Amino acid sequence: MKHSSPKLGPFTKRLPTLTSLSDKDLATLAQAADRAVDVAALTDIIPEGAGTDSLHVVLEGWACRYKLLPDGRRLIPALVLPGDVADLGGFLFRVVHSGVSTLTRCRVATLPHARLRGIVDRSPTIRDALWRLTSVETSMSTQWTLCLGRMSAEERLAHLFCELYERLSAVGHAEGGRLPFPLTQEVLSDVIGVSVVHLSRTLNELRSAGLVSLEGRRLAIHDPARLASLGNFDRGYLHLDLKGPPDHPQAKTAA
Amino acid sequence: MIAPEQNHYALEPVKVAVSKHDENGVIVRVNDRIVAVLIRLDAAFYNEDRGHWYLEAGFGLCAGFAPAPFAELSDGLVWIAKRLGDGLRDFGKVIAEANLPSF
Repeated sequence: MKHSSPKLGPFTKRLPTLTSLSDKDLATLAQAADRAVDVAALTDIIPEGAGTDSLHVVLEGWACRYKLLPDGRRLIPALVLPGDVADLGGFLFRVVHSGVSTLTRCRVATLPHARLRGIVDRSPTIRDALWRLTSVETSMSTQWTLCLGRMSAEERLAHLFCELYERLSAVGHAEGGRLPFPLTQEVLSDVIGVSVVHLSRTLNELRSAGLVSLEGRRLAIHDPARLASLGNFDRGYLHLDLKGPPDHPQAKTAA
Repeated sequence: MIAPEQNHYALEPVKVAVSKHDENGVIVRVNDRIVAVLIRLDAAFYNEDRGHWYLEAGFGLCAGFAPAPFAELSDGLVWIAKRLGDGLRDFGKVIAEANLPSF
């Protein structure tokens, strides 16, 4: 593992989308982080069911949480993007029940639980931010359950593409309808819970319909409105609109 | 219940509407009951799976998450036989009897 500077990079863009944090709060978190390390692609950050004494924040690259069945079948119930905490659930329970693995080469910062506990005990705003982060994860998890349980493969894939675009845009990693897309078809099939064959067909349908195209490791969304409609996508569950437009339902509730 | 070694396998070539295009496939019957539909993956977008056989639908003991595509139709039939508790057998005669079109 190659060490580099301990900045929290996109994490300090991600958190302010959820709550108002002062520069001092963000600096406090950055100071608490250990040196970031580079982790090779397809490497476990935390094996399934392992204990942990730190939060792992992905600064660069894509990772995932996964669950395996004894016969090797896998589901990826969460994609961890730059600025995301890979193992938030481990903060209180010190064990992560899903595995956490890199998908691409990642740069990962660690926030030791003990240090973070001291910070949240002193700072209600940071505690609030972590609580909100947990709530967003629950909200996303519920949405993914809806996708897996009730949507067609085409709808799931459209929904996923819309979600990834919104999440990556929020940390400055996507714009103009284009986003980095480093997932293999095998990984993608485990994200939307279909076979690789069915994923190939579904991807082909979306391409043929002129909704998206894949160019190397980038995805281009050609018709965001139709894609969102196909995927029944409404970004509300991502809670990216802390300071959203006045007519946004979230803004009304907060007022 | 018929003893496994007496199970009679038969194939029927069919066109199946998969997604928005047709694919060539076979209905697999065991003792006149449909147990599976296998599809031949012909489209270019299947990449390395192109030309292989895919369990499009499985019924009864063949239901569940689709296994990886089979290189040959006979491999798919062997998989089905295993699911049904049949012993290993040669499916060459079953395939020949089906008089399948050249895929």
